Amino acid sequence: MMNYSYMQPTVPEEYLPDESITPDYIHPTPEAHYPQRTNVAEELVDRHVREGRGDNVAIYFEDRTITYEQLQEKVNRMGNALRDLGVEAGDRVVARFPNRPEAIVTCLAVQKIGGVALPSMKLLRAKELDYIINNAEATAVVVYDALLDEVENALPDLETVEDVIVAERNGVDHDHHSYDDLLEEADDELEAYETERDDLALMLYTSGTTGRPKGAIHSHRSVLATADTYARYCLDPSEEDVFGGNPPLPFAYGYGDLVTFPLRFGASTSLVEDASPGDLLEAVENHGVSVLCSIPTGFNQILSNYPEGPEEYDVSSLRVGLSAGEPLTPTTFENFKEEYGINLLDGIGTTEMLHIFVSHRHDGEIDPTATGFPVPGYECKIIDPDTGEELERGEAGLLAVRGPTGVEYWNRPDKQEGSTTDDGWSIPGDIFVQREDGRLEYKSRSDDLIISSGYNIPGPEVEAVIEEHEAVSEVAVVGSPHEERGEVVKAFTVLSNGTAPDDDLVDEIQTHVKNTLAPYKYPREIEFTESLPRTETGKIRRTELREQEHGS
Amino acid sequence: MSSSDSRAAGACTGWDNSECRGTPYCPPRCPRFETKTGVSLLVRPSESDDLDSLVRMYDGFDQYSRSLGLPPNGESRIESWLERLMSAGWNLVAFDGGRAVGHVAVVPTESAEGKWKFIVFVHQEYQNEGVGSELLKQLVAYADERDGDELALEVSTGNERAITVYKNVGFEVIERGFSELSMALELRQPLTRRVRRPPAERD
Repeated sequence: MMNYSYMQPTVPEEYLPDESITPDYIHPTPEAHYPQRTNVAEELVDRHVREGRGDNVAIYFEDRTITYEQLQEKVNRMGNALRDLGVEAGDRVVARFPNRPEAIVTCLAVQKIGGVALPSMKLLRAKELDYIINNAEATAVVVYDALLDEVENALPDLETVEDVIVAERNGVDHDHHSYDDLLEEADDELEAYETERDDLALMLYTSGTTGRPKGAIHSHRSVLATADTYARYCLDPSEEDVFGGNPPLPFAYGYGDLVTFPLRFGASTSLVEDASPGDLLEAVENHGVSVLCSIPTGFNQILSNYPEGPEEYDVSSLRVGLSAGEPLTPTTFENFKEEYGINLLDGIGTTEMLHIFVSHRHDGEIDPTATGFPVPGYECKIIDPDTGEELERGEAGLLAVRGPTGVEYWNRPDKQEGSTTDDGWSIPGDIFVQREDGRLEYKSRSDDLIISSGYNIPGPEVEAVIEEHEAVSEVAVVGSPHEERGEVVKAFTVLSNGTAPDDDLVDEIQTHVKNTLAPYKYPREIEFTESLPRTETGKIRRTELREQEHGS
Repeated sequence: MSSSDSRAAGACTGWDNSECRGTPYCPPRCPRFETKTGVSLLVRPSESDDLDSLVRMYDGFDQYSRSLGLPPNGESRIESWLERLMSAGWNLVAFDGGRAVGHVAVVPTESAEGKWKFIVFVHQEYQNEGVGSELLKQLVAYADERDGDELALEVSTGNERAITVYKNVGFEVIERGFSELSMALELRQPLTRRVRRPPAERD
C-alpha cells in the first residue's frame, strides 16, 4: 500500500486510494529494493555522472547527442526554473510534447524537485485536456509550441494552472514563459529533493470503456522497479544499448522503453519526433538502435511499406524488438524475424501496472503463439471473473497480477474498488489462459475497450461525439477487426428521418470526431443502418454488432 | 429529526423514519431514504405527470452516466423512450423535492411471465450516495409485491462499479457477452422479506 508521505505537501491525502482497497506490493527480486529515500531522477541521471559515465550518450535526437552530464545540467536548470516559478514538491506538472528531449528533461526536472510528472499525449484536444488537467489539479504545463493551441483553447477552463512554459521551435507566437529563456537564466546546480520511495513521481491518464479517464499514479520506486524487473531480467541491458522506436512517451510503455530503461542502465535513448516507419529505420541506422520498440501496427507498417528495409538501411545494430499495446501475431513475429533477424518480444502491460509483467526473455525459448511467462518480480494467476476463484491451467479467465507495481488511481475510489481482488492482486482487465508449460496466452479483453494501433478508445466517448451531428439519430460504436491495426473503430449509424446516407456525410462525421477528440479515436468505418439491435428496455446490444464484425 | 423538503407530494414527509415500525397502509418498502450526505429523497411509483420531470432529468445526464446507449440523445427521443417504458411496464422514481433524480423502469421480457427486465439510472449529481442501491431494494420490494419471479438486466462488461452493486443485492451473472453481461436475481425469501422490513427493523 502507498504510505502517504509528508514530503509532498501538495498531494491531497484524500486523493490517494484507501489502504484497504489498494493492491499488495511484493518485491521478490533483490534489485527492486530501494532505500527509504529514493529519487528517480537522481538514480537515472546523477548516479551515472557520479560514477564516471557522464560522457555516455543519454539521448540521440536527429543529428544531436546529449550526454548524461549535459542532461544533468538541463534537468538541474529546468528544476530550478520550475522552483523559481513556485512549483513545489507534490505539484503536478503536465508535459505535452512529441517524442523530443525536452519531454524527458521536463519530466526528470519535475521529479528531481519532488513534483509529479504528467506526460500527456500530444494528440489530445482541449476537451480532453480540460478534464485531465483539472482532475489532476496541475499547476503548470510545459508544452511544445506546435502543440500549444489546444492548451490555449482549454486554458480559460483550467482552474489550477498558474504557469505555461513554451518550448519555441516552430516560430509560434505566445505570451507565456519561454522554455529556453528559463533554462538559460536558471542555476545549473540542483540537489534532488528528499523524496521517499513511495512519494509520487509519475501520473499517466488512461481510458477504460466506461467513465472518465483515470489518473494512474506511480511512486519513485515503482518507476525504477519497471527497469529492475522487466528490463533487467528480460532484456539484460548494458551501457552499449540504444533503445529506440516510436511509442509515445506519455504511454506507460513508451515512457519505460525510451526513458526509464535506457537511463537506468547508462545506455542511450533514440528519439524520433512523429516517426513514420521510414524514420524509424533511418534512426536505427543513424543512432545505432539495438532495442527497437514499437507496437504490432508499427512492425506491420515497416514490413509492408519497406519490403527492402534491411537492404536499404544498415540495421546491423539491432539485437531485439519489443512489442506491446495490442496482441502480436505469430505471422508478424515470423516475418520480422525473417527480414530483420531479430526476435520481437511480445509483452502485456498496462498504464496501471506501469510496464510489462508478462513476457518471454530475450534469450529464452520464444513461443510466438503465447505472450510469455510472468516477468521475474511478478506473480500471475488466472481467476474466475465472477467468483474470484483460481482456475486450473488450461482454463481461460481473468488475469490477476502482483508485483512491485500495481493499480492506484488518483481520486477515483469508484474505479479503485473494482480494479483489485479481495486478496490484493491487481486486475488489468484481460482474459488469459495459462498453458501446461506455464506460458500465458492472451485471449481477449474482459471488457469491450477498442484497441486500435495500440491506442485505447472508449466506444461510448466516440458515440457521444457522433451523436452531436444533427443528421445522426442513434449510433453504436464497436471495434472491427483490421489486419494492420488490430482493430478499427466502426460506427453503426442510424440517420434522422429523411437524411440520405452518402460519402460526404461519412466525411463530415469523421471530421467532426477528429476535431473534437484526439484524432486517433475517429471511426475509420461508418455503416448506415435502419436500426440498432436493442433489448426490451432499449439498451443497445453491442455484442451482437461486434459478433457480426468478427464473424462469430 | 431530519429535515425534509415539504414541497414533496405524497406521504411520509417531514419526519425522521428511522424509528418507524411500519403501518398496514405502507408501500412494499418505506419511500423515505436519506443519502450518504443527508439529502432526503422519496421513492414512489411513477405517475403520468412525472414524464416532464424524468425527461428533464435524463436530458441533463452527462455522457459518463449513460450506459449502453441510454438515455437516448435529445429531449424528443428521451420522451418517446420513456413513454414506451411507461406504457409497457411499471416504474419507480426517486425525488428530491420536485426533482426526479433516479428512475427504475421494469418491463416484461419476451421469454417468460413473471420474468422482468429493468433499467436503473441515477443523475450524476446524486451518484455515489447510495441512491442506486436503494432503488434496487425498492425494485425488489415492489416486484415481490407484484408476485414477480425474476429480475434481469444487461450491464456493460467494463462497468465494474455497477456490476459490484448488482452482485451485492444478489444478482448473478447469467451470460457473458463481449460488451454486455446478463445478470438475474430470483425473487425469493429471505431477500424479499429483508428489503420490505420497516426502517426500525433493518440492520
